[in-house]
Amino acid sequence: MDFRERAWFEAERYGADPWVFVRELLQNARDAGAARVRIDVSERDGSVRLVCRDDGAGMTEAHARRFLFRLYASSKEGEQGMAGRFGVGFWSILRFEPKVIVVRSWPREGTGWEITLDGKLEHAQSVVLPHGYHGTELVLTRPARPDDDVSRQVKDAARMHGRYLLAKGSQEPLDVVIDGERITEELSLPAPSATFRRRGVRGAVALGDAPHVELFSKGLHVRTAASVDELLASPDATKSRPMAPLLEGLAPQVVLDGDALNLVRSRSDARDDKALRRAVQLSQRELARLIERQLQFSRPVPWWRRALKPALVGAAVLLSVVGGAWLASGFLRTERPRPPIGARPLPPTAAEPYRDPASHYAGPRTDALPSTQRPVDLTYWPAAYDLHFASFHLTRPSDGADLTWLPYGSPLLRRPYVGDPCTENCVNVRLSLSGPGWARLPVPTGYQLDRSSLHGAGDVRRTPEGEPAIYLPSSLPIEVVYRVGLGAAPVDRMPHEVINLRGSAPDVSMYRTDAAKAEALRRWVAQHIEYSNDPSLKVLRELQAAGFVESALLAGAGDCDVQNAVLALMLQSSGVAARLTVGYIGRDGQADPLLHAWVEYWDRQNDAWRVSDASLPLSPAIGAKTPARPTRAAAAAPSKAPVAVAGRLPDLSKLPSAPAVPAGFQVTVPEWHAPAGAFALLGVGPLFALLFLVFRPRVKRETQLDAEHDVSRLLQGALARPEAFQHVPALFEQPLVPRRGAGAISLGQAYELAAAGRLYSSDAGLAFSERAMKAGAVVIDAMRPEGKVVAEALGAVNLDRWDTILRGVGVTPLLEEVNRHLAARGERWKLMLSAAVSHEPEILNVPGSKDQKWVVLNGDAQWLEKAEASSAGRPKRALFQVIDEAALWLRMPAARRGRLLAPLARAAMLEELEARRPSSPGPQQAQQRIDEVDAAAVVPAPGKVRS
Amino acid sequence: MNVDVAELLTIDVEAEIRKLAEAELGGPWQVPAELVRRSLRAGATRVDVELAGSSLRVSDDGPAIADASLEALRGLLDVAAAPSARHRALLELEGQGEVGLVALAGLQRRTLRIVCDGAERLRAGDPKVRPVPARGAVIELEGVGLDRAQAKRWLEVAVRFSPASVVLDGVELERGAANAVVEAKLEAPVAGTLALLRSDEPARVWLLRWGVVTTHAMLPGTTGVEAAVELGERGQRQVGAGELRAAFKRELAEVEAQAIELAIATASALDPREPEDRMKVRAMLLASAKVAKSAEVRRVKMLPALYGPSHAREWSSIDQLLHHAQGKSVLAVDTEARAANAVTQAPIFVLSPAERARLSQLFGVAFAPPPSGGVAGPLLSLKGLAESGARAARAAAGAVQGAWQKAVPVEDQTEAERAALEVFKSAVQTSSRKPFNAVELCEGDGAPHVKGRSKTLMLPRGNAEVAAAVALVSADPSWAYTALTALLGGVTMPPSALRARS
Repeated sequence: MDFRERAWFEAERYGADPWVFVRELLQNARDAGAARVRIDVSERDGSVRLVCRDDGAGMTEAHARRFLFRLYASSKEGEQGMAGRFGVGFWSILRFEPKVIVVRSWPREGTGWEITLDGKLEHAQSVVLPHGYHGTELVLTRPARPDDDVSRQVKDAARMHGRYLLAKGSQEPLDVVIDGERITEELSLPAPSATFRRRGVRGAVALGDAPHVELFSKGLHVRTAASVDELLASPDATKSRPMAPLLEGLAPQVVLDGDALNLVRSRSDARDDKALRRAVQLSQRELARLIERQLQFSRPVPWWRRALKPALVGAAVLLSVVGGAWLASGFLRTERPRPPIGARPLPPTAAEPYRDPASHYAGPRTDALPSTQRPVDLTYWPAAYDLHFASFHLTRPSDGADLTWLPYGSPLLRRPYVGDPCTENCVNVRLSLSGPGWARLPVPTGYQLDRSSLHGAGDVRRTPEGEPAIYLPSSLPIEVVYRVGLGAAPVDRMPHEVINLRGSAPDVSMYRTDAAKAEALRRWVAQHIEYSNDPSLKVLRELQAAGFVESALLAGAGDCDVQNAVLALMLQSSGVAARLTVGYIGRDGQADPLLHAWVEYWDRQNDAWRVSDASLPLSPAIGAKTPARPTRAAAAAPSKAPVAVAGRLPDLSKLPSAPAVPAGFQVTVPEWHAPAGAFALLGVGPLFALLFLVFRPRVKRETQLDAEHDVSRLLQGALARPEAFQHVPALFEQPLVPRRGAGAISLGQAYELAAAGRLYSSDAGLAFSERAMKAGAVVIDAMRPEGKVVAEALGAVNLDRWDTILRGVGVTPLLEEVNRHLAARGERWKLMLSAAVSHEPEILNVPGSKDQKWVVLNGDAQWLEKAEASSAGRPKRALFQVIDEAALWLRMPAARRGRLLAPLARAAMLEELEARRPSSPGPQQAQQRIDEVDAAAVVPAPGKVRS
Repeated sequence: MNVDVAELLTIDVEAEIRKLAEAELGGPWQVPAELVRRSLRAGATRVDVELAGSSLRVSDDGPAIADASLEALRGLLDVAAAPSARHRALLELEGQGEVGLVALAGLQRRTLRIVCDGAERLRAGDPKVRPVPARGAVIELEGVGLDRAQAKRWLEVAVRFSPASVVLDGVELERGAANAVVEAKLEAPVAGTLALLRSDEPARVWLLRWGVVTTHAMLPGTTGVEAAVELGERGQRQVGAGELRAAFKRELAEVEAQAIELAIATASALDPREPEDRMKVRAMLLASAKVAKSAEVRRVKMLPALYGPSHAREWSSIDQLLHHAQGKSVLAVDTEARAANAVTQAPIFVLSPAERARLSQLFGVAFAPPPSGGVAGPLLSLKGLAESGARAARAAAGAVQGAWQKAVPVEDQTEAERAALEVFKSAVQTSSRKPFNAVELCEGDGAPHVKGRSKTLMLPRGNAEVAAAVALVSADPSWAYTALTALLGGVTMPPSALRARS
């Protein structure tokens, strides 16, 4: 392998500049930890000698042989903070075309050495050197060439590539001196500029005459560009672009130096990665900030206005922190309002909590099936019992509307629930409940709630139907355990003889007991109304009015609540207190998943509520197969469930005793495990944000502002390229456009005024502009450059010019009359004459007024001359002609012109007729005549208008 | 002491290979684009790139990879080979310009497989064998360490000007300038395409080698221009992007000049219905002071202006604008609608505030709004309300009366009446915009009114005003306008043709 050939190839990769090796020497010195670099160029005996000496760590000969003289090998590869790593940079010295290369080095430890090579790299000699101060020295010698200013070239190259070079690991510039001239300098740009440093990126931004961007890596030059966008491989990498790089006098100049940039081997570019993008974005932000600072410096904004925005932000953050903390604390409290029962939060695996079905039950319907029912989490023990857990009761088919959630404090729940303690044959019930609001506790038919089983203070109220109800404060599910025993809770009114179904119900008067009547009616209903949950089941709606029972019998089929509602009504009609009950069937300690309806009737012989179910065999669950039509035999046969046999309760004595309440059951005040995290975020989040804002890594910045900076250029730039300056809102919002008198307006305000035709300007401050200002008009001071550029670009009305026009303005008697007439008719314009106006009239939106216009004519206008000429003899016609011409010229709509001109036209006509009469009266008499005629007309005469 | 130079000066081939592979690439994520470049250079018309999981597959319909290249690659990849042999292989690949294959060697990967025309030609590691097309070259890598998202993003940018279609994960990548007003081919000495864009992006020149972007350079003097210059073999020696930009500096000026020529030609040739496009091209020409002030650009008729009482739109040049600006402000509005009420014969330029600002900045032109009519309506007053009510009542009364009124036959008209009607009718006939289509005389003394669908103005001969009008107009037709103004009672105005005669 030809080392020289390869080394040359790599050297040429650095580009066309043969002096690029100076950069590599500086880089190596820097990486070696040098604090000083000296380059001396001398000429002697026809040879140029370049000596580069640094006080870095030096290297041993072995190290040099391993890395320096071995192409591509680099001791710096993978080392943080090193500028070089490719192992080829040193050999860029071949670009100098040296005849002799001498490398000397004194390591910190060990002996010094020297190796001398010829320029063709064909011969080499080594020498051991006496101990010396650590560092490395390179000597390049070549024949002198005519016009070869090596010293200057080296200095230029050093300045270009390394003027911002810092010593390794330091913020101090590397001391580089070439032939006695210091090369390195502080990174800065002429004012207005800002230097900044943040986390491994430092740089400077400025506003100058031409766009210029320079990229450095660890203080060594990488490339130049016209804009920072050019540094990135793909154009959409950054979104911000503070200004266009092409406005004269406003060009952004950026110098960027990144420690973490990843360079390609030729060092001519940095890889488009996070480090580069961060640096680019930082520079763009700094540029925008510089413009704002310069604006603030040139046109200070009062402190209170500057403080307003941060104050508002701070207040919002504080409010958020306090509010969030308050909310979070509310949920983190362990002391909660006590619910009326012992409860504890449900584990996450709990089934659907129980909700009072009355909230979504609309009563038995014969024309529609009930909506989808939800399974419920209800268990009980001893599990041997089969129970009908009554959720709520209906006494009439239309009772659905009454059974809604009762608000806390409802009069219906005034009565406390009184339930006897259970001592034997007790059943313990557990269910999960969810609020908010009042919830009835399901109690099995024939049972009552043992009030003492609900510990703790609080309300257990009784509904008129005798159902116990408790209040749940929130929708968080809780677990309730209570005990029930045989018995009956009092009701406000027994549901008997509520309805009379004479003729519809079979006669059961022959039966002596309520139970027998109930059973007889149950069988009859089961025979005449088949159970069906067929969705297509529909009864003639028109028969609803005839009665629920008739409709159901006519249909001959219905769901369990239809069947049992009919049964309940028939029982009532037969003198047995009965009600439709909706709830859940409990089997084997668990409630069946879906709602069921049955009849509870009062067995007077046993003083107990009993179950009777016309849907036996029991209706299947919703969605399951429709059971086979029960036969007469099946209907007559009692079901296996003990409570399904009408009137007969299970022999509870044969069942095992209900266990006592489990030992250790805690009735405790609940501790709510609120999702505090979510709420805490509300309070803690902004706090963290605030802390971050205060303690975040900051940009260290030094700004040099230009006291003489021409803000007008910025304004001009913003006017010409508003989209490029959108990231500097201060340009549009800050009052930068000077007004005459005092104060300033913002560019945004200037835009608005110009669009409305209400932007005025003046540079001489003549009388008219003073008047305009006093009238409240915004008059830009066009004497100042910022005002001038805005006035010219946005087309402000030049009041100085109008001052000249108005100085010579006058009105003839005809125009006076015209203006009087216009004013009388409420018109907001008037005519004037001025010789300063050309053949075209000038129109002015009167400053300070809302809609007033002045129309200034040149008196030489032919039509005006004609009208003036006729005004003596035909004043009305002259009036008409002038106003007609002016109105047309002002592009007044035809209808409005007509309204304005019709009376004048009429007057002119009559004036003419009068004038043509042989013995025509004088003008006064003519006027009188006209007045008389007009008085007879519908429209009042012109001239007699309200002033 | 003499030193053995051969022993002293050596080449670390491993390091060379390791560093060379990514030496001039922005990162491994550029390798897929380099492989696409390889395919296009070889003559492929379609290249499929798959970047899925940790694998990379590039297949094309081009010719097979040259044996020499494969041999060199094989030599480079052979870690067991002598460093000198590997170095020679590297030089060989570099000499062939196979940057993509060199980059492959340096890419972290578990396996590599190259198939050409259905036959496996190179294998490294234990790659999965996938079906391959019968023709074309396929390069497959597994276990590749590269940033996929960035690789995709770069591919989308890099192949925008590719002459062949490039499909990435089954989706063909878009080609061509995005949202261009006009596109054209660059002329010698540069080859490529040029587009004027609708966006305000800084002007950019993409430097391509064999259809794939290598780097870009900005044109600082302008905006809204995008050019793609194909360097082909020319760019081969300058491997790095920096070198390319430096070498191409002269040609950048040429591209800029051609962009300006294109803008000039486009400025006046664009469809006037596309005002936004015209504005973009204008912005481009005004962006640079040097360009805007050039004689050629100053002559381009690209500034819309409204001329004459009818505000007919014409295209004017900067020179024409400066001519109008001599000693005074140039009238300008933002949009044509704002000129609707302008009451001037002077030209009114329709320029956005940004354009006006730029022209002000460049040429010192001051702009002013045109004098505008459009006076606001009269202040509300009782009198006005009363008049309006009276007009309405009069019109209603007239309409009621006119319901049965018929025109007086000519033979029943007086001489004066006939003469007056003649004047009124001829004015109606010659007017294009008229509030009524015909004029007739009728009996009665009610108010004149416009009757029926035929919009006939009925003049009751018994009405005093009508009589007065007849008397005047029959004697002097120039009174027709004034008379009809009176007779119409403020509802509207007579036809404009009558006014011209008054």
